[in-house]
Amino acid sequence: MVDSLIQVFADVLEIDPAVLNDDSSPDNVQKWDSLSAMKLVAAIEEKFNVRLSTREIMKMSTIGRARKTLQSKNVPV
Amino acid sequence: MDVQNLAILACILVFSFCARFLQIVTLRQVLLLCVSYWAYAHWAGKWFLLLLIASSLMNYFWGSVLRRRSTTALLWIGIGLNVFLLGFFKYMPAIAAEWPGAAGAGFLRDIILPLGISFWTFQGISYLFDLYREEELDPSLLEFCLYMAFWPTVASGPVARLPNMLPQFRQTSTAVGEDFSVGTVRIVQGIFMKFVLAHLLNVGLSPGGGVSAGFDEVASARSGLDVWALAIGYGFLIFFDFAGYTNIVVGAARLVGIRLPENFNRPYLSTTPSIFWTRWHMSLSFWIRDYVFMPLVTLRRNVWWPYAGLVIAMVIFGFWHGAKLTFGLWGLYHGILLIGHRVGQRLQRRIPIDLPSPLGVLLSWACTFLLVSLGYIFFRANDLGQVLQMLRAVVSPRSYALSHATLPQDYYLLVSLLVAGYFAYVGLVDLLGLWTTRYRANLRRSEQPMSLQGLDSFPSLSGAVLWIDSLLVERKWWLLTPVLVLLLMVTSLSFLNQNSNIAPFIYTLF
Repeated sequence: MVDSLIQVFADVLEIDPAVLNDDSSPDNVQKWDSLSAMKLVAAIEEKFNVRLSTREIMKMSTIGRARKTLQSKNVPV
Repeated sequence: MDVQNLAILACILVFSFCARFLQIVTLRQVLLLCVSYWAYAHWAGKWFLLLLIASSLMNYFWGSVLRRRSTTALLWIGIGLNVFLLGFFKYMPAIAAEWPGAAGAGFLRDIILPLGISFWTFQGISYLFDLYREEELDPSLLEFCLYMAFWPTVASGPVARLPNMLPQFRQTSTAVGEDFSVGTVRIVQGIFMKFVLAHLLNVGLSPGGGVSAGFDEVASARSGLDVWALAIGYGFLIFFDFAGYTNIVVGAARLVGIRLPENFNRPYLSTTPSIFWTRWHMSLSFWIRDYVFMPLVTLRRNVWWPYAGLVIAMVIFGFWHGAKLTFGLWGLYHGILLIGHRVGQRLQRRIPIDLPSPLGVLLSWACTFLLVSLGYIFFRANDLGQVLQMLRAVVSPRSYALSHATLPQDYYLLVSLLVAGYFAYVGLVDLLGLWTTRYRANLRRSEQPMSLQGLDSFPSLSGAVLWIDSLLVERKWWLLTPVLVLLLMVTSLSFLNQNSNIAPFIYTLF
């Protein structure tokens, strides 16, 4: 079963979740561009029912960091 | 470059190279910092060295404040101080020139831009942002000053980031042989790109036959063909110039045992404007993405705001090059291209048009290449009037008559040769890569190295691939570096002697 956070990234970026992992970032995922980044934020907020601050969004430079940020907000990912 | 400057550069390289063999980390860092400050004082002057030191101290101090109390207000004060410093030196002369009667205008107009101020200021800002977003950074003052002043990057980047540099300052690479061979080849490549290819494009094959003359010595209106040839020619000139510069500094840093971020990854092979900006001036475009676009775009949650944020970020990127309307328009143009690409993608989903894959990719590449090239008109033109004249020629079918062409024929020949040569070179490198990969795969399957699948029909090529493979994969190629260095240095220096009017590196002006 695909990890729920990775599934959000895969859905928004329209790529196979198998190619994503916690080290995935805009530097190594071509479709993760500037505009996709904000779509990701909106999708994560909707999926996990949280509101992310500017600092938290800036911290999410990799999927792993996004996971840590969400965990710090008590989201089980 | 005269003999004295070459000797100083050689000393800087030798001292830095020796530093990597020092076992005591602090001693190594001290030596690298002293060499970096010496280099900067030599290139920029002692007063600007003091400014660099002041900026380093200010950012380090503000970083320690942020580490204790990381608030948004404190972050913006730190960024404001950096932006003020950069803005004062970068834009004050232009502003003072606009209001010559204002108090102090004479003094402000004569302010000289400190070498590399943009690049080390950006590094200072990224440090503050990284602390704000709670990256685990604990540089000593010595390490932070070295990060700000590291001599290969201090003049024109690449814009380094502390999380990448700090571990390397603390633990130098032990692969001396590999670093030496890779570094030397990068330097030689860079020298060739800047002092041969970019210089040729700049001055042309005959007087008045280069890109500079094409933009600066305009006797009559340029035709449509002229404008395209100038735009594409300038695109390759700035690429050879800046990618050449990047190769030199990345190579020099590699000699010291430090791997810098890259700036270019075959940008003219991009198939969309979005991909182009992940391959062109990468260290700065990623910096803009992370420290301008992202904070900006989180301010509002409207559907259209990210698009507006993208345009604003690109316009800021444009104006960073200088206080000229045409730079701002260049940024705006690229912002619109990026949005256009995204809107095009949405339309494509609604109205699926299925082109055969190679044709679709080729069309996409051609559109991207031509649109990016056209953008250089904004970037290089001397004023808005020239931009408008050139754009009029581009959209006017009548101006494409061959009889309207005003550029010399050898300009067209030069640009065609260099552009075709570049793409042929890139294609050849890829082909060789493919062949060596297939050869190695075949070798793993069989103990007979010469029975190459797919290469059997090219027996002479298989021998060449075998030879290239032994050079590239078994790293025997470093044996060639002294020969290559000597050859290219002699070529470049003899070229320099014949043409003493070498233009400075374009990005040292920004």
